[in-house]
Amino acid sequence: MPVKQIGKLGDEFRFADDQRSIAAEYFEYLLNEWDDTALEQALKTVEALGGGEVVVVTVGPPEAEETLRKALAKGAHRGVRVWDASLADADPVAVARLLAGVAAQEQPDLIIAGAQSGDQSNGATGTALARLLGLPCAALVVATDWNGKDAITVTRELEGGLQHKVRIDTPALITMQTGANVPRYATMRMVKLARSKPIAELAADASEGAYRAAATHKMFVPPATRAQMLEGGASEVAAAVIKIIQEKMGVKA
Amino acid sequence: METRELFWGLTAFGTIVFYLIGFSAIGAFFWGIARSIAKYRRGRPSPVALDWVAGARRMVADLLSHRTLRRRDPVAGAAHAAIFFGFVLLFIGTSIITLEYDIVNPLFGVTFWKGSFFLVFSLVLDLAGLAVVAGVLTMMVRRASFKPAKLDYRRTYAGETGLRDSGRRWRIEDWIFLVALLFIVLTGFVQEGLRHALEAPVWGAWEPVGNAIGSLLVGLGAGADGIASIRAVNWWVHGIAALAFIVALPWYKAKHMIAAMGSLSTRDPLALRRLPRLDPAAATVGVGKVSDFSWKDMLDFDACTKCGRCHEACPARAAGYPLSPRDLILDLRLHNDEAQGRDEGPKRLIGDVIDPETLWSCRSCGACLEICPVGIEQPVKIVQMRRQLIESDQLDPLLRTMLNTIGTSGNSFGEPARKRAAWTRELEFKIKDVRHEEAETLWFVGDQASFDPRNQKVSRTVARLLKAGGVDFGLLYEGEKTAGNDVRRIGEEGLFESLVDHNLGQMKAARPFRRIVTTDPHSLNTLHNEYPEYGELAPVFHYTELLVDLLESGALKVTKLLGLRVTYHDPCHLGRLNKRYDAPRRVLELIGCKLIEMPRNRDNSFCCGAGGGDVSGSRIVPARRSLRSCVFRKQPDSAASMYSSPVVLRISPCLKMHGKPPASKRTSSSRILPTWLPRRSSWRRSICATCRAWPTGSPQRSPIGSLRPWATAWMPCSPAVVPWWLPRPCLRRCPSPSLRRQQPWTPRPPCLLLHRRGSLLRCRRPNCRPTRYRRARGSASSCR
Repeated sequence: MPVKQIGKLGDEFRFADDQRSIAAEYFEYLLNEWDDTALEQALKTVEALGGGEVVVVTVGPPEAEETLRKALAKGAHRGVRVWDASLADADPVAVARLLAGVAAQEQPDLIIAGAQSGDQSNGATGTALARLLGLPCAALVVATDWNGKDAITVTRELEGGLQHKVRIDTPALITMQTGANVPRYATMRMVKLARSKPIAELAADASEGAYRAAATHKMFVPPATRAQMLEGGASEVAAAVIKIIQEKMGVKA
Repeated sequence: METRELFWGLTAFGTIVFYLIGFSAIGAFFWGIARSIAKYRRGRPSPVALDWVAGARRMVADLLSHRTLRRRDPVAGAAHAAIFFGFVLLFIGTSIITLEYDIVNPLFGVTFWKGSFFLVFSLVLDLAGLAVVAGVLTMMVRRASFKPAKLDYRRTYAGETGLRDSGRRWRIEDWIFLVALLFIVLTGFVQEGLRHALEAPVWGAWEPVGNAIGSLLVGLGAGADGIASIRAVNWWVHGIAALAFIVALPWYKAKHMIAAMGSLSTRDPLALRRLPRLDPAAATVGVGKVSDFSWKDMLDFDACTKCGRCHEACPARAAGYPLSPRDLILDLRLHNDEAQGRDEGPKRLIGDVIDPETLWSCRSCGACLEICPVGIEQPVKIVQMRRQLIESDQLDPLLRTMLNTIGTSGNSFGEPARKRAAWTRELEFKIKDVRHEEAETLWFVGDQASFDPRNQKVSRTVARLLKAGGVDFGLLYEGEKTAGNDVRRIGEEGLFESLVDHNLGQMKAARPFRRIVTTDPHSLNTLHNEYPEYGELAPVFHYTELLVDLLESGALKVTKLLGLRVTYHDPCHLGRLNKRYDAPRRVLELIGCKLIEMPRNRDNSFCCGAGGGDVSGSRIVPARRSLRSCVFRKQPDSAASMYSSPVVLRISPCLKMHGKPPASKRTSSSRILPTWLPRRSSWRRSICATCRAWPTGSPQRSPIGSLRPWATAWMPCSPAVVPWWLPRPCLRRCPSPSLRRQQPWTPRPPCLLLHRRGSLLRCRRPNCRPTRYRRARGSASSCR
């Protein structure tokens, strides 16, 4: 299962000189919440089946190993980290290509990914990976039911409180929505013990970074919009609203 | 020469039978003890090093002075002393007789139990027997008539109305113990009396009780034959009863006679202040099964006497959390008596025997540990079990989030580390950074003082005070992480250790400093007691200690005495756990405040509720009332005075917990603020400072010593409590809140209050609205 280390930005930060990134010192790095849910689901599935192996994969710099260790502390069996310096601002498709390579080697029965990440919120890596591998895919899953055989029943969350129950053939890829479970707590002792678990490090080809569909041009803080409080009775407020609409839209209103 | 015959009128066969019974009784007694010792040996080794010599010395001092037993319950203490010393003397007396009759005389033909030694011996033993009777009767009356709430085994705090089966058995057991003691001593006295009636020795006055009973029997005209036959029967009754008592001793409440000596001498002087480290060799983290407890823990379970002092002191219990330290220990004991230190049986320790919610209810305030007369360390066992809860992920989502937050950002507020010293930006000067600049004192700020907006203001005030006092101090800035006191008390030992590593590393890398000062009692506790186990550390002081120095040396001058009446709420970690009671009080005195103590102060201070597993102030276990309301509800007068004078000398989670009082309560209670308040609960009945007269109010049940009807809280002379048969005006000073705010505290001209029974208190001052003094309802255990 793929995981991602995300950066959480504090409320005080400065852009780098090229206005295209923010220096690492302003971030706190932690495990993506959706991936945490996915990991919990994977661990629960393995525990329910009474066997199996959970392999966590990340595409990230050496610092991301901390996140892999955290996942290993929670109970994952092995870790794989793929990296090349050219991937510094890789987009979801580039990441999915690398993950697909790992998946081709591991031949998993089920890939569980987080639906999106807490920093970029592209929500594309999981589905892109499924497309690359040609696997059936279910997104925004909140419950799974799998006996380890050839089909898995998943419940997906739709808009408006609707849920969609679907049965897909395995091997498959599902992306988890948060709230599906309560991620377990890994004590610092477990994190220390997880240091003995294996993490395979794979070097990506430097050309992989080129497979990207998007590039960052500029980062900026949008100008603050103003809110106006309208006071008074209902008719006064209504009059004020009409006045504002007329001002903004001119004669059309 | 004066002496008396042993085994009077007993045939040789009878004597042999008695000896056989005696030896088997002693054998059974030692078998019972050996069984317990075998049970303890199944436990783990003690997680902390024990100093047996110092422990034994302290135990003997505790026993001889009865200091742990007299605290907060002098009646029970005195009664216990009478029973204890009486019993010890009787035991010594019996041993002396055995020594002469069975050892010295048969071996060497020497007798010494005669003459004046015999006479003094007889008198002392008679008096000892009387002391036991008096003590046991006091205990019986106390149990039967006064029914102290702490001796009630109903778990009302957990919402139970009836008594559990175990509770019923405990009640029976308590009575068996008392009745057995009384029965043995009384049959002994009767035997003595029968002897006096038959033999009428000339030295009879040396056994006053026996003499009196003998004269009574003779006076009643009992025949010599009848007396002789009763004497023969009663001899056996007394003997068998005494031997049965010895046999049964290791099997019920009487066990505390032995186990308490063990628990008192193995007490850890730093219990809870410094928690035990994890045993790396142990299979389970913390305590998850009964065999994970150490032998010392198991000894503690057996030592519990069910005295209920911890139950009474526990703030969680008072607030309706499902925890009573007494019931926790007793439940563990019941379970361990079944399991005998093994892990067999269907019951799981956590879940079936102890509810996880019970464990999360503990605030680690140490009130139970402080008052336990036999030295049981309840909170340490709770933390040990919590460690297992954390390890097996049985924790509240809020708590999980908080631990994750501390793990990533190093503080419980989830703020980035670079904002840690943001509070200093509003200061007019820059505080040194000890990582680069040399400073004499390192100020370890702590989470609450760094991030909580209200506490930040206090931090700035402290910084200005230190600056004005010429203290050369600096901060670690973003190098500091939370000290981890509460993380460790939650049970996340690994995270605590990583925080210790980080903080110690930062301090080591910083420029050298001579001392550490902190405003946060929790940080102070862990820095002072726990960090030295991980590395060298400069001495740690609370900032009030520094302020006392500055004020007394003249480095800080008080320009205007405040003249306020204030109260002071001892933080558990500063006061009870680290015994720093006086510095804050001295500061208050030096700045011209009149300190009015709350009924629960110093070592009995009532926890605000922000300790233990409640770092973020979030309620993990729902309580039926907030602890905060309990702090004030029980101490309405003093709480009011606290708010009428806005001086709070603490920066800790506690300050956050106090918040602001409800406006209505503030105005009403500050007006009827009694100028009279007792300093100590046991001296409650003193002259009313307002009326200069003995309080006329009717006695209220004391919130603390519910046992002592004569030492109950005498409410001040407010009309609502003046009995109808005392229809007299009460001269009270009635300072209006506005007046008090403008001027320092001085005696106000009295206002005349005329009142009738049940009527409102009326003051003639126009701005004084009628108020009623609310009666404190119920005792501590039924705080509503």
